[in-house]
Amino acid sequence: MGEADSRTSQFRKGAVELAILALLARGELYGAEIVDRLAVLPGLAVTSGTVYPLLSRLKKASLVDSVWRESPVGPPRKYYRLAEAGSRDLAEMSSSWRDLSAAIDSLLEGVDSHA
Amino acid sequence: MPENLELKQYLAEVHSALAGLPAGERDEAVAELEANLLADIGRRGGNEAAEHAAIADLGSPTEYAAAVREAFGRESTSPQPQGRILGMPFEFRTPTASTVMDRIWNPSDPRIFMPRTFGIGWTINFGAIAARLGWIRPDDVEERPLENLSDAALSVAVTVPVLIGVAVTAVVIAFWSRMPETIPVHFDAAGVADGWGSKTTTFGILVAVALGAPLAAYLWAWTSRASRGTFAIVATLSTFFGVLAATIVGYTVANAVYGVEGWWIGLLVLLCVLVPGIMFYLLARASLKKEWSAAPAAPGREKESK
Repeated sequence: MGEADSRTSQFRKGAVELAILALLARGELYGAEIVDRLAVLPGLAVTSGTVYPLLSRLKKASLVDSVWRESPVGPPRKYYRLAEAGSRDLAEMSSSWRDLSAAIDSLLEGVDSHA
Repeated sequence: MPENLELKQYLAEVHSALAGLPAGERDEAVAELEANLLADIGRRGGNEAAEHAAIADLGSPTEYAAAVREAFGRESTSPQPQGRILGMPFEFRTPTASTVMDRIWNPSDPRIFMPRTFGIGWTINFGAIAARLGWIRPDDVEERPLENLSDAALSVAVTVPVLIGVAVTAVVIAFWSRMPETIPVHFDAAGVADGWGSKTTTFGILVAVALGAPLAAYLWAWTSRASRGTFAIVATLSTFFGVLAATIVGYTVANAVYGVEGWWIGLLVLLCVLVPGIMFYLLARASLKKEWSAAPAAPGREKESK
């Protein structure tokens, strides 16, 4: 893995956390569903191996909480939902994200063609 | 129903790769993974192929454990205060059962004085005391030591602070007419009064702390459908404040009515730490004993036979 690759994966991790919070803001989901919804976005490049540890972390930080619900097939599922602190963090993070992304976009404008 | 052998193996390997994390965090991360994996396996068909595929997506146990470490490493494993004011930690974020536990029962954190869960100042980490006294091993304790209390033990625990509160109230009522309107509210190191205040305000506050606070806390715990452990913690904390209020009321009455004075008032303050400390220890032991006797032998460890 090149150095640029590993740096990309560093900032992607922070983004995945924001992505999980944003997803849960629309309603509760169980772990594998979160993975599915994020896996269709190739830019995020997530697997269950990256999502579950982040869910543990978000839960530990009380940003999300979980409930068990019966499932139509198989064992009951653990559903995650946004906790109050999570909604607050999401609001803060999303506005910082937009500022950051606008700033970087404007700096990156035209860089590719000059490279 | 498949036996989930591969799953068990995977979880055991993740668990051992997480060695060094605080026991509570480690168990919780593995339990979380197990719940997520079981749901994933279930929706993929619930057979061995589903199990294999779900696990393959996770990467190796070592990789998974590394991801957990990294995720948890971003915040300190030991609770940090929201900020400091004049050197004292303060915390005004809404407490949750888990932040309360992290501070008053956290054997894996060696600090005895922890930043308060809510408010300014410190709180006592009874877990660290128990670990230091050798009663428990810092890495061998469930995160929720009080969840397995029997009904009887919990009822006793919940009753203790109410009895203390009633006793404090009874003493205040019994001595009310014999106390002057202005009573001593502060004593120097020798136990001699050096500050005075209004009887109504002082005793009003003390009765509110001793009797009002536990009742309000139980009401909160009951309406928020708190777990057994939370009730036990509320009871222990209420006992702490109850004993504190009882000590102050007792000494104030003794001083104002009978002229008692003495440096030993300082020792009485020790009671305020000792009584709830012992109570917490007894509750934790009762709960752990029940849990241990019910638990199946952990993987790789034989259950000790008596």
